[in-house]
Amino acid sequence: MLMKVDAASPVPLFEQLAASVRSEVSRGALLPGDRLPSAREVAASLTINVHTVLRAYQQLRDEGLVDLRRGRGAVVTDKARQYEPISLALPTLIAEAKRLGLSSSALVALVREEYNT
Amino acid sequence: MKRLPRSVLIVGVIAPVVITLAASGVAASWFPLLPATVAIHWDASNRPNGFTTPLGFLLTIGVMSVALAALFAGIVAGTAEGGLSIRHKLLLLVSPFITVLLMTITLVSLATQRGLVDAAAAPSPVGAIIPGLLLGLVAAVIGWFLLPRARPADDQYATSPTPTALTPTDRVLWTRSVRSPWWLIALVSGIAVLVIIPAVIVPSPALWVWLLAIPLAPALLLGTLVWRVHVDNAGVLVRSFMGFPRFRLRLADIESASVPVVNPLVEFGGWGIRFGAGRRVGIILGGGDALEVHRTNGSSLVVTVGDAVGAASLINGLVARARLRA
Repeated sequence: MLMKVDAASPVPLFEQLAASVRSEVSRGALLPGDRLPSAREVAASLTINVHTVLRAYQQLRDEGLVDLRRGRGAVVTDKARQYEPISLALPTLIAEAKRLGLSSSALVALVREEYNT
Repeated sequence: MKRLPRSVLIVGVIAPVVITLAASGVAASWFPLLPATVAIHWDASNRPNGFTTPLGFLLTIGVMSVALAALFAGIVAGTAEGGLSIRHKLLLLVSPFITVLLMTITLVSLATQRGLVDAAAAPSPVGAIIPGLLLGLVAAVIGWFLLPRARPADDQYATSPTPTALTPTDRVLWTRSVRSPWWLIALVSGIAVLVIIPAVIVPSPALWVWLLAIPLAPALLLGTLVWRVHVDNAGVLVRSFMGFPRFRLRLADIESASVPVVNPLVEFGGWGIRFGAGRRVGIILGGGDALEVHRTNGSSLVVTVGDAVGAASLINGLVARARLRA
């Protein structure tokens, strides 16, 4: 699985990390039962604070996407399967946006507006 | 599967079998002249210390060379889709080479034992090894020219995934574990147990050595069967689940990453930590797509990890970004 954070981005690091995991789930690279790398390992590789990683994992747990168990780490739950419709819809949505010449931020703005109504 | 040319069958199977049968025929004609048991093994000072009947000897050698030929021809037939690579050809030529070597030594050994009453006086056939090797080499060279021209090796078909786009400040981590197929783990554990049990049952003065070896041997073997691959801003780390052995490649030492199609038997001669031609070290736990990380010094590390394309793209992205900075 791939995790990516950009310290220069205005988005908080823990949000970026959680988004990485969600995106891996939606493209099918992470399946129910898969274990996320340990917080210590992620923190060392990405040179970020362990608490930042734990905060991301806790957010994913609150969404029900991972289980946090002592000794077993973070394990992807069955909810990962429910991401399939979204991962199927995304390429179509993005292709349509590109056809219209919409930038990614314009598309995100559209999605956000629709989401909040 | 595409049919292989007939020369594969002739060089890899028919020739070794015919050579075996012909040599056995010659040896059989000597049976009346041979002692009831012949010497088949000699100690370091060239005195015979192993004996068997001439027929038993011939059968053992014959079955060995035919089984070897069948094994190598089977591997080649099962893996040579789209023609023979150089490695396939070399693997096939092992059979005629070994057969000629074995049969030369067998015939020389039996010839010198003709007319002996007691095989204990048999001279060692050690002098036949060099001529045997040379004859085997001649057989292999003839075989090489009988076989069709080699197609490019599999790794020349390797794909080089496009580099992942990274911003100058992106930090990344790609990680995935590599596990051997269950049958390999079962096989290795089985062998470990089979090796250890007799050693323990047979009382030995150094029993404590075995008490240490019982947990250690399977652990060491299994340690090479489950691995974890990390790719991050610092480079690539491939580590056994026990923490050791480990292979570390710093980003500055990496030239590029590619995704070859790996055939464990043909390219690396098996599974586990393997050494392949062209300064390749392999952590080979399966076939198919693998990640190959090329160092700037020309050597490379091959790991049969899943989503190898994802890992290779990321490595190429990190290398491209580092070059841009420099």
